[in-house]
Amino acid sequence: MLAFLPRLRRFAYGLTGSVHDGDDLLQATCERAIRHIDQWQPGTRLDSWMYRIARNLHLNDLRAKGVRGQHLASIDPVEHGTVDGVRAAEAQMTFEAVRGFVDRLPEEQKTILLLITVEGLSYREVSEMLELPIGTVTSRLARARLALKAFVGGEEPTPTPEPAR
Amino acid sequence: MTQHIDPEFLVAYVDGQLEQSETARVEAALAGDPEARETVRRLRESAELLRSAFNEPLNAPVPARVLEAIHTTSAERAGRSGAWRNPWPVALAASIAMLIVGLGGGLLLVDYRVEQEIARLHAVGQADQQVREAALFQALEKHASGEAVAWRNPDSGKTGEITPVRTFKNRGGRWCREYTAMEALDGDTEVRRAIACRAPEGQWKTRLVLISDS
Repeated sequence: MLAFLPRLRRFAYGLTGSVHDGDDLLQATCERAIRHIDQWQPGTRLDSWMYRIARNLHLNDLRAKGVRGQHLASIDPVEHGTVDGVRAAEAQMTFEAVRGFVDRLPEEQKTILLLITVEGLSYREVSEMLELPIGTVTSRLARARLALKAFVGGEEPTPTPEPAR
Repeated sequence: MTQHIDPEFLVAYVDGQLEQSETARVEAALAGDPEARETVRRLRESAELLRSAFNEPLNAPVPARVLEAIHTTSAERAGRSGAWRNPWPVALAASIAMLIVGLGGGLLLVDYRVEQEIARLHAVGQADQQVREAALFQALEKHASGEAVAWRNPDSGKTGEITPVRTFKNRGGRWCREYTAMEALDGDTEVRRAIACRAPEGQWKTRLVLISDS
């Protein structure tokens, strides 16, 4: 438990893609958790419960921003771009580039990638937390991980091959 | 004849999330499939890089404003506890809030120690070192090879420039970068070439100074 606040902070950082927004999310999550502590079920994991609060608050936030975005004509489009030009291979090595890659992932892949690969939760824990079938968790994670592997290796993005007959 | 392994299985295999029988099946298939073994290796490596990229918040102190918000909210909550509708979880909820407050208190103490340490560093005149280290972290963490990061300490007049040269993985699997560091004070210039590797907690530690000329 003592180690948990920094981990929650890391998760918030990953979700929002910035330290400042991450800290806002961390703060909102802690406030909400304390105010609604009676909704936590004793015997279940407190950390999973708090990760889930963070993720829900983040999604609410995105929705709110989405609504505002419609008023502001040009919000920069989120693209699965490749790293530009000659420095590509090198840039891919930097941590900044990896964080940028995560930032561009679809929300549902990003959450699962962060919870499992960075925070170390099991597939089952995440499937319960997000109320998703385990098969969905597995395939979303695999998509994100294969894309990450390709990104880090500087591979040409290739479509995921169909499983052999 | 190699049989293609579903990439989803490879990811779950790397994560240790397969049933025993599935693990055995994947391992058997891997034995005859060098391409899939390479995929497994690169899945592991890229996952490791991902974790390293997000580890920064693990060493940094949680910002004071977050800790303050936790204290304030806990205090509010405790103050209102008499009015809670469901009396049963009150004691439990209070103890969780206490746990979080206790944790916050611990971190505040750590922040205080860090502040004292910084004050001491200033007292012995090591401001140069701080500027240099911040620039070094910036350069190694955020800049591609060939991009220089300049620094300057207005108090001492010292200036410097740090340029990452290349990036590689050492035998222990850590990310390392070779860099050059130029420093100038009153017309005297010094250039060094060094290698720093990134510890799992996110600090870059200079391991080796390759050339030192002045």
